[in-house]
Amino acid sequence: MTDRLHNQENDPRIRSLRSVLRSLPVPSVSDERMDRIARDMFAELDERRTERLRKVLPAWSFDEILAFGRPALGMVLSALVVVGIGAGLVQIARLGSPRPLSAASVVKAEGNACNTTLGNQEGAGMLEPVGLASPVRAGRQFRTGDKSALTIALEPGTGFQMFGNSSLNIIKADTRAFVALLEQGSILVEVGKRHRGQTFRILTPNAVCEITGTIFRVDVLSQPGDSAPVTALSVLEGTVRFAERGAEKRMSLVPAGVCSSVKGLTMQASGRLPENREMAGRLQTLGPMLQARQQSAQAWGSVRVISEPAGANVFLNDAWEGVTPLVTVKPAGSYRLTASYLNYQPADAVVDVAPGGEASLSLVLPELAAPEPKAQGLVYGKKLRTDRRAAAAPAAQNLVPPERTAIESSPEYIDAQAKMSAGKYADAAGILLVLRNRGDLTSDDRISVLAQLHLCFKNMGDFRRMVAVLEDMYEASDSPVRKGNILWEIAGVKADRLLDFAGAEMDLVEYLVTQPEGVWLYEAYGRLAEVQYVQGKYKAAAKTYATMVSAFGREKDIDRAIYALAHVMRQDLDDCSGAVRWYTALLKDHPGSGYAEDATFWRAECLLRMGRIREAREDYVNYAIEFSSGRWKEAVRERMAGFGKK
Amino acid sequence: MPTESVQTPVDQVNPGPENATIHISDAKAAAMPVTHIVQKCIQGDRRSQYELFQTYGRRVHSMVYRILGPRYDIDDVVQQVFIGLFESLPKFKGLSSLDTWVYRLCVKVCTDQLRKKYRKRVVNIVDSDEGVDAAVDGTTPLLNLEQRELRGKIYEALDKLSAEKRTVLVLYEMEGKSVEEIAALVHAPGGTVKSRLFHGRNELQRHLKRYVASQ
Repeated sequence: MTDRLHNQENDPRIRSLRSVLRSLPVPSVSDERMDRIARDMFAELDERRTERLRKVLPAWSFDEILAFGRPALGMVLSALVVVGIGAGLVQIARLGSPRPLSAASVVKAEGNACNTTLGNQEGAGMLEPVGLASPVRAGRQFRTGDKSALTIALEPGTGFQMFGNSSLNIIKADTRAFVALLEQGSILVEVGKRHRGQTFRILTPNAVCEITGTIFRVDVLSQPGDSAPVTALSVLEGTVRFAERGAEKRMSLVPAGVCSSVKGLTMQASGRLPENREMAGRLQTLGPMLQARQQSAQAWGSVRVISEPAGANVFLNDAWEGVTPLVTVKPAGSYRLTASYLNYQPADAVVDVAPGGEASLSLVLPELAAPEPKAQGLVYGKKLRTDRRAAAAPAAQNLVPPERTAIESSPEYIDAQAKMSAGKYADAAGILLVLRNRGDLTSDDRISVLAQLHLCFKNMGDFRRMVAVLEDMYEASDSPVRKGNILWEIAGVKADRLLDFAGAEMDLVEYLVTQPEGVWLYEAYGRLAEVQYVQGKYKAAAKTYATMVSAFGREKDIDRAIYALAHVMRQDLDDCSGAVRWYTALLKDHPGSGYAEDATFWRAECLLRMGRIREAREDYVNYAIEFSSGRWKEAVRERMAGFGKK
Repeated sequence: MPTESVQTPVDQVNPGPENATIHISDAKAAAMPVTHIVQKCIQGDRRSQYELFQTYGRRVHSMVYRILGPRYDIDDVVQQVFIGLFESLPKFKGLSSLDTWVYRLCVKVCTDQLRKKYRKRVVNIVDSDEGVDAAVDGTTPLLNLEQRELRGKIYEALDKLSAEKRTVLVLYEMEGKSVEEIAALVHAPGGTVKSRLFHGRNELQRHLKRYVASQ
């Protein structure tokens, strides 16, 4: 075996393998992280020690204590006192030991909601759809998809509703404490009165919200690569203690009607809570559901609705209930159910909910005839702007009409702008929402208001509503240039903030088709390729990069696109000859590029893989000369050594 | 007083055979005799335990990361290693070095994790090291992505190997341990280690041939 191992070590393939394995970096670990591990470990050690003491203490008998010999009277008495205190403590601990929340349950799941077990328990990592019987306990993770929601009742009057695209890990759920980590998304929480010693905490990656008895909403807003998410807290009733993670000792009190936020690990200025009809509507259903469901569980039954197509709106007795697939609990009784979906014929049914029973309904909505195409078509192929680079200003500035509109002179509008200048975006949004709904606005007035409103939502971090406002602007706008800028802005928010890559791709394609001379054409190609790549559409991404390179070959940072194209071809499409072609183009046309080092190395690797040894060797030699302290120097040395042996 | 009889997985770890020297390689810890630190740790002295954690914590973290890869909850495993260490220290008689004792425990806990396979995996939306500790210095996001992809492929290929072969391969190729050292850590004869290394390399090379250039 020693000889075989020795021979194997001289095998160039094994040398390459070793080189790849050794090139893997090990992440450095921050002191803070090590401290966290130590803290958790010592807590676990303490817990184990306490557990052992609990097992050991009751086994002690008086005889055993005396069996230590013939102790002095003081020693015996001391021992008795210690045993007495210990037994008393154990008894207190037992009496006051927390119990699991037996009544905690899912009361409503709409759309795509799933749950899984975290950590090392049985079944960890297996995603299951949420049902009414899904367990709600520590160690469970609940996730909701787009346009989905999930309502969970914990105790009478206490529970929460998760909005779409949210993820919540339940860390602790017992009669003494409820702790959950909201990793992303939004949650609306209602908490009944807590007893002394009872805690209710919602953690986010960067903030802590602690409650005594209140109604509030928490949103976590982050984007990929952003190490500083924003946690926004809106308090609707009562008071919430709020702080950055790690600063729990100096928590600030946030009263009702106020929203506060933590960006990264910095507390931001608080503001007045704007009127929010959606939240008010949700509250109307959440509160009674949490109260009544727990008090008279026997008088409730469940309703399950699925539909084709999925995503239809469901109304029970004309009150909106959610979207399909939907499962919810309702008080026993008879309900008139309506399901509707855009461009589909609505379906009606009568549902009888029996106490403890489940009414299941499967609906097929017939499709309506295709609607006529919109009369106001977009201008295709028209030359909109000849000097692309002349408009280097951010797109947001190109969204408003160039002329001053009448509404801009109104006191409300001026007031809103003053509030925005003072950073009170929520107040400004409230004023602008009222202005938007006025019936006497011209098209330009409306766009001016919407442009300011979208800035408010942008600064508040409410990107969903920001996109909704931009879409309104797109519909209201007549100017093709403005439409293009709005489309670009929407695509950017979807890709960067909402992680809706499919939506961003559609918008970018529309932008490229409708704006052949658009201001953001070059950037749109680059972003489209990245969005396609992230979705695993490698061929499409390569095609977009190739189009971009041929159309914008003279752009100064086009080398990035060429390198990315070569990378996709080599790494994802396994097309070494294509990759070599593009690496060569990069090195020839952009010799001073920051990607030259990597391009030289990877071209050599491709050539080696294709069996073009001589050319590969030349590239490795070039690399060794030009980038003698480069990041691939070890790998190049290995390869060169392999050539030497051969 | 009755003795504690709680059994942990590490209770089965036997002390090493030959090496009788005791040392902690870290200079700070070396100021205090190791036997003294160990004794204090056994008595439950939190400061000594923390000192031991500081001495070995990063090295254990690095080793666990290399053996298990980014898809495991590395912090949790490191925690398990040290809990095991503090609970097994009463059995440490100084017949092997404390380094060997610690690394052997580390290898054992990691191997247990690998054997449990999917049951032990955490649901990680991102790799366990992402965001917290940027590993690649001065690279562009694109290159960072490239590194991550390569790392992902390597650990995918390692996942296809048995826990024993994987451990030996990682210790030899990535941790730079000798066959003799590995034999002491995994409690197997040198010949067995060599055999695992030979077959492990061949298997890994087969799985990664698309990413490892051949000549």
